[in-house]
Amino acid sequence: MKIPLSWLSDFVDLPESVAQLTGILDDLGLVVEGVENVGEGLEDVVVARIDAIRAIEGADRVRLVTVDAGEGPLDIVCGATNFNVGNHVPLAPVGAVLPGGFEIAQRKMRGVTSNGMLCSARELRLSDDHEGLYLLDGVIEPVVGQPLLTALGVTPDVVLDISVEGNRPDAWSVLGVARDLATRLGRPLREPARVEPDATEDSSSFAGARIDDPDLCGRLTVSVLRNVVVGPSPAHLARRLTLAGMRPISNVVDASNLVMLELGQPTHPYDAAHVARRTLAARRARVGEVLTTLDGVERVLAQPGRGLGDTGEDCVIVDGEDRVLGLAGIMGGAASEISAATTDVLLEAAYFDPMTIARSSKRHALRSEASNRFERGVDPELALKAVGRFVALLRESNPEVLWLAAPLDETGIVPVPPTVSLRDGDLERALGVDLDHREVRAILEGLRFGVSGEGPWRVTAPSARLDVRTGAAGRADVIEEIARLYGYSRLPRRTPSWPEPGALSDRQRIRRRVRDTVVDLGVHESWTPTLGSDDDFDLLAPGQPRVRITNPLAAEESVLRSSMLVGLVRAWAKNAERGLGDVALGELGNVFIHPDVAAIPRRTRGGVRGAVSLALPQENERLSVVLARGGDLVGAGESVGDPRRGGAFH
Amino acid sequence: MHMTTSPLAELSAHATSLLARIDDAATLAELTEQEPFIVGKRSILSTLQKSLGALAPEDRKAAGAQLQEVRRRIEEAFDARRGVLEGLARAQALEADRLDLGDVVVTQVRVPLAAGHPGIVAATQRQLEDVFVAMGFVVADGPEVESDWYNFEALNIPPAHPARGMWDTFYVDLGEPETVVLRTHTSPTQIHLMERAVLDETLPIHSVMPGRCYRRDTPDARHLAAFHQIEGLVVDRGISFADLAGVIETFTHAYFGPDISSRLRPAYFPFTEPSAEFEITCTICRGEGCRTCSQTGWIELGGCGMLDPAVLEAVGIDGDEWSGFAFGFGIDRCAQMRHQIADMRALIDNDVRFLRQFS
Repeated sequence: MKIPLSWLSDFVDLPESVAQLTGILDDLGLVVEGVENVGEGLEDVVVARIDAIRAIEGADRVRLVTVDAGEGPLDIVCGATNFNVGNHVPLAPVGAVLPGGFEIAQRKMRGVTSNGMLCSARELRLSDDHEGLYLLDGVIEPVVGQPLLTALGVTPDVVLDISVEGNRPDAWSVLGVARDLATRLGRPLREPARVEPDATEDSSSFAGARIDDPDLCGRLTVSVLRNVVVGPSPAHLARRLTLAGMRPISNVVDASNLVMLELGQPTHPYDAAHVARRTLAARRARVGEVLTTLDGVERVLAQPGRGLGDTGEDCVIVDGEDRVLGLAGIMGGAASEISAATTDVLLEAAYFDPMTIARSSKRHALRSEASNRFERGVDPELALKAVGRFVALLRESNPEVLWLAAPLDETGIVPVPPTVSLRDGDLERALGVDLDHREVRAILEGLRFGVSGEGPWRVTAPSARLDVRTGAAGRADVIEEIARLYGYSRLPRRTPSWPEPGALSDRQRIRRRVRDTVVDLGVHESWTPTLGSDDDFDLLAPGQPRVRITNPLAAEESVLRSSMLVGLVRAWAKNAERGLGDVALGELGNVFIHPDVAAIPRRTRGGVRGAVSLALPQENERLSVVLARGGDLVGAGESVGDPRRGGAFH
Repeated sequence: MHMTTSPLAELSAHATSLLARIDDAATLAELTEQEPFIVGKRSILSTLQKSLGALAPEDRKAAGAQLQEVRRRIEEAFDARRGVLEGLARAQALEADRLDLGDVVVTQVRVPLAAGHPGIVAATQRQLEDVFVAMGFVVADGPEVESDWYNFEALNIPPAHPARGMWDTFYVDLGEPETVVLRTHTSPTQIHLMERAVLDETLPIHSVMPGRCYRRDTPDARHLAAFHQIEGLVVDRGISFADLAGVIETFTHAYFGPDISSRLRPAYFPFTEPSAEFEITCTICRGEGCRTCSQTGWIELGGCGMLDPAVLEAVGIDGDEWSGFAFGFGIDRCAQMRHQIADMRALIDNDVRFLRQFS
């Protein structure tokens, strides 16, 4: 997750240096995987106007462009063609050093002198756009000679790439990271500005919402937005999105993405004009239903997939005529997309059952920013708060937008935030030390856990913490949060001891002796592949049933080895090619015998909850050696007994 | 009035001839040799591209699009042909590599031929085992093919849980689909040990479990599709996070030396709570900060944590009486760090010069 510090600092006062900040985030388990300085190196870039464009004799790829950047005409050789006389573009003058350390110098080519460089947005690291020069007309009111950063209202920024663990759905947002930081630093958390619905007509007079399957959709809110004018986002919001790694599309879509990144709630805007009866409903997909998702792929719904526990359930959003609009929480269809003509929007903000989303997403091999969040669990109470933020952001470019009163809000089954008891001594038993109770309380309250009672404390998880469980497991979850915010490095260490001695088993001792012996006899111990091909093992035992991999990376690596000899001979051949053929190679390792032909097939627990008895391959430990002299292979042998079961080496 | 011929007039004839050239290449080498003339700078298409400049701007766009479309078709055909020829080359290489054990003549051989050498991973595993045995741990083994129950579900990773995405899994074609796997970590051996200890009433447990694991991933300099892990498990009375941190620190000193220490950082594993990554002082720069440790002075070694109550419940251990911790890390990675091996793939190359270097 990419977070610009300018965004994070809206919600919490940050430590003085970036190094301090990244250290604290690492220590909170929000590991910083990258730090990028953006806007650096743009200090010397200015706004220039194109005054003339001329061909250069003998050059067909570049032209000579005369610009004015406030200090008279400058000739610059330029390869882009996406501009005309009168356009405004960024100019890096001679002496400027662009991001990445590229220094602009005066250059002579084809008999003309180039006094600087006209830049694309990507060359300035302002976006990925490299289609041509960065045309400033339409983006800003260009003023010739003005520093580009001032003109764009851009200040240099630092973007952190933070890796959020799977059990922290609450932290997968700018505000979530800010909450952890505020708690650790003991600083206040500032919530983002939101608006309330307008006191105009009721939403129900315009639109409808319905949950048919409450186990799949725990909450479905549908907000009606009218007087929508679709257009570009304001520059600062577009930039925020760009810095966070997403492409600005339009003010409506951008607001949806900004809210998801900022608060963690995915929302989905529909063009109301293309939703039958302006009604959205969530239900189980029926067998045989088909949906073409936005990525253009036709998907057959409600087909059980491979693997345990997959019943083939898909949750879909349908319109008032029961037509499927999208795969709920994962991806929509094209029919009701926002377009330039959209004036009324139905905004869906929902809570979907995480496991349903996870299974659908896996089965359809379809992951999106939304599904990543829903499958880990989005705060069921966040939906309308997120819409309030969405409208606030949209109003910056579309002030006349109306949010109809009483947004539709249907409820299904939502998880109840668990309450766990934290008894005196629980912390000491788990962490080896009792912590200051006031500090513990401050941590829990900072993370928005409810704390009541005195010994035992009753600790109630906030609705955003869907990872917190009930009972003993929930207590462990709460204790982890306390330890994490307190700081693992502040906890004590103690080396335990016990009366039982450490030891190797008899088999391990034999294994070591065998290994030592063969090495003493001149064998180079090797490590050859466990996976081979039918052709490999047909050489030794044609037609034997083999243990196969269902999803191999290559056909040559699709069978579990029933002998190590093939691998060893191959390893020898490679050495022989290098002129090192006079050698003995050996390996002590496992071979796999199919349960149908195994002398002693292994039976073990399998299936859901381990309730099924499964026959698994017999794993035999063997010693295999190949021997070569004078560049020829002169001997190859493998023990056939199983040393675990008293078999002998031959 | 006179007609000017568009430079693209014979575009379709050029395209046909280029496609024929692609099909004519019988080997990968031939195709590669032709590459500059078909899709590269010396291709007729590049010449035509340059000639577009002579066109009037209003014609240039349409001509450019037309040319682009042809270029795309040629490139696709080229890539497809390359795919076919690469497949052919691979098949031929495999054929050449095929073994004929009929050639192996068993004769009497005098040993030793020369000095032998232990494998570097096996030697590292032995050193690690020795350190843990001295710390009071019993060494246990477990199977490489496991059921879903041992590899995932008993470790608090239910079927279809998103956390399964943390492991790229090879499935074994036995039983119901995706119910038998090549173990993705050594943790299933923990479950075997705990189930057995409950059955035999032999708690406490203080064990380490080394072994080979698999991930369905293309090997690179830092990862192999098969790798070796060592896992530690302690289940006893009164075990806390402080004991875990202490064991990690004791091990770090014992194995890496007294000037290397450890630290814990919050992390997520489904089978432990609280969970931590454990990092050790960078063995290259000794904590000063270098490229290997991204200037932090620390490098990540493995994961650890207190046994999750859900895991204890799955194996039937009473969490009010017993508690414990687990940890795990890569044996190959230890070998790589200790011997400063740049590319992990050297470990499976079995080059005897490499094997000799580390004895």
